[in-house]
Amino acid sequence: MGRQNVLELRGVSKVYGTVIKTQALTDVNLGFEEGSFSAIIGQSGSGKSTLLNILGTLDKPTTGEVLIAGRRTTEMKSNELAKFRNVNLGFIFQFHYLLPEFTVFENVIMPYLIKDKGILPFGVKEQAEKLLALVGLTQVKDKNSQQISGGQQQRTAIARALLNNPKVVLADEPTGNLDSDTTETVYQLLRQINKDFGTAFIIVTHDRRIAEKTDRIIEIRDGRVVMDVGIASTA
Amino acid sequence: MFASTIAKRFLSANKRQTFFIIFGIALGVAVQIFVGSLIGGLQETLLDRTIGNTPHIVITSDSDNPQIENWTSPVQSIRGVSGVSTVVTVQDGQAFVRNFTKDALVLLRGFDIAEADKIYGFLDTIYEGTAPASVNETIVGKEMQVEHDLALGDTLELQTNLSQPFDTDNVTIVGFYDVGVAAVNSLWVITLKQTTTQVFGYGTNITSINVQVNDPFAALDIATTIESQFVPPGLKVVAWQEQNAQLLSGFQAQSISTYMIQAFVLISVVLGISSTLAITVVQKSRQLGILKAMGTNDKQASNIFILEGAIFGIGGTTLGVFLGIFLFWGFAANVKDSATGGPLIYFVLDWNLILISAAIAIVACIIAAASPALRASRLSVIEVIRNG
Repeated sequence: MGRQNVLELRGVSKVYGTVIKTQALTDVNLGFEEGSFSAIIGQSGSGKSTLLNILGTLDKPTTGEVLIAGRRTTEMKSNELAKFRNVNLGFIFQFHYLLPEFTVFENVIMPYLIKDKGILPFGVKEQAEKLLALVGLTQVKDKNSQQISGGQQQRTAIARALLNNPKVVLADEPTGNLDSDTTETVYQLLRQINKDFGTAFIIVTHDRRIAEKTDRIIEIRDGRVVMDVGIASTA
Repeated sequence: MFASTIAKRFLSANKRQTFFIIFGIALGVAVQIFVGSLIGGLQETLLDRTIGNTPHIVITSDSDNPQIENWTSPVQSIRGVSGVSTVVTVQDGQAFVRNFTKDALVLLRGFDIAEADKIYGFLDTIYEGTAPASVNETIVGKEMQVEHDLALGDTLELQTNLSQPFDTDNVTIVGFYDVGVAAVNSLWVITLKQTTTQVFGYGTNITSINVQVNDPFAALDIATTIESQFVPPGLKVVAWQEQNAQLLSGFQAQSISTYMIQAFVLISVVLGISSTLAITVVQKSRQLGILKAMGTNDKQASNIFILEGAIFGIGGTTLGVFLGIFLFWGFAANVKDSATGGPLIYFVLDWNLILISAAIAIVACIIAAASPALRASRLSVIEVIRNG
């Protein structure tokens, strides 16, 4: 018996537009196991970002189902989905998407502020400090999020994605605009977290060097899965 | 709590913009309070000067005979009417002053001086001499003194019956008053009732009942009550409003123009806040997208902007109230009446006006935030992420 699928797509298709229709995804069936470390590759416009957005419940499929931790997210209402996302998913975006009005530390604890309506539960502060130490940002934690380097911002985003101890972290080009040394540091960090916390990672990248270091490579072309290699086991 | 943390940080991250919005609201509220207080103060001052020292309701005979008999019981009843503050009985009539060379017609008015002072305030206006204390003593006004070159101790020879030129009564001037109204100063010869009883031969009868009420604007209703319930037929009851229709319509026009000014100021404040917040939603759409991706729900997202509206409203209104009061104080203290040299209007704060203006401004700010808040709640994460 393999491990349980923590995230699963069943017959997912996505069509944009009503008059002029663009088929972004066609009948995608994928399963991601707990603690897996996968890469989705594809050229620009292939549909890989659409796939990631649907995986992260930020976008809804036109047809098909998305199951996260055994729950059908396609049937959830907007607010229920927001709460579900907060608890189960972590996001790392290409452009970091830190809140410029807040410090590094405040950005990291933001998921908890959202969840607990502004009150920080006991132990969260320590957890955040631990994660910041893990990503090597203890020194800059009280700086404004715009006063640190690109690599540091990306590491802040990683710490933020991990704070809620989510089952899955979705990363969209997490090393997209970083130099090769920083890219390697960030990759090592994601790997270590994957190993230490058992968090499943799904990384969208166009960087083959990164993709080849993962356990599974899924290639998307014209909205279809054309290659799925590694230790994957679909549902 | 979460929404307020975000709202406060959004506002403090852009202090200059926040300051200008709050200052803009403050100016709007200040203008409202200033204009409202100014017009209110002006009306109050004008009303006080016009009817402050006159009876609000006057009851006289409706026939050729000016005398009112059996007045004790109606006066007693009128004193008990709710809203009535002072009731004064008067004995008066016209007389010729035989030793005046011109303008010899005067109005001889007999009062119980202490009682009448509650309405007319004569005692404080006596600038020379004393109040009449015994029969045949009288005080006359400033204009009469100047016109006829009168001095204390002078005698006025009064003739009340034209057909009997030699039947005169002499009264002695013991004081001079100035109530600030030339028509009164030049015409009224004020004395005790004992004097008028003797001069006119009215006996115990009086010629009018003067009434002052607590709220001048209620005078008309009180007059109707008095007329229908407490006075015998043959008497007429007239409230001040019936003789000052122009003043009243002036007040009304003034009030309406004040409301118009206040409404337009309010509308411009609301539009200003609404459009600024709408721009803020666009400015912060990236942040909203991140927050929503991390699990902020639609209600929390809209609350951020509702709270921003509330913070703008409370901050701007508080500042505006102080500014408005300060402006009004400055006006009242520095703008003088060119005729008297005293203040043109009194510095009297109408707290009702201030509290209502403040409450409306705060509510308006929150309402102004509704549309931007709705926009924030509908903002789709995917749009933000796709557009970077």
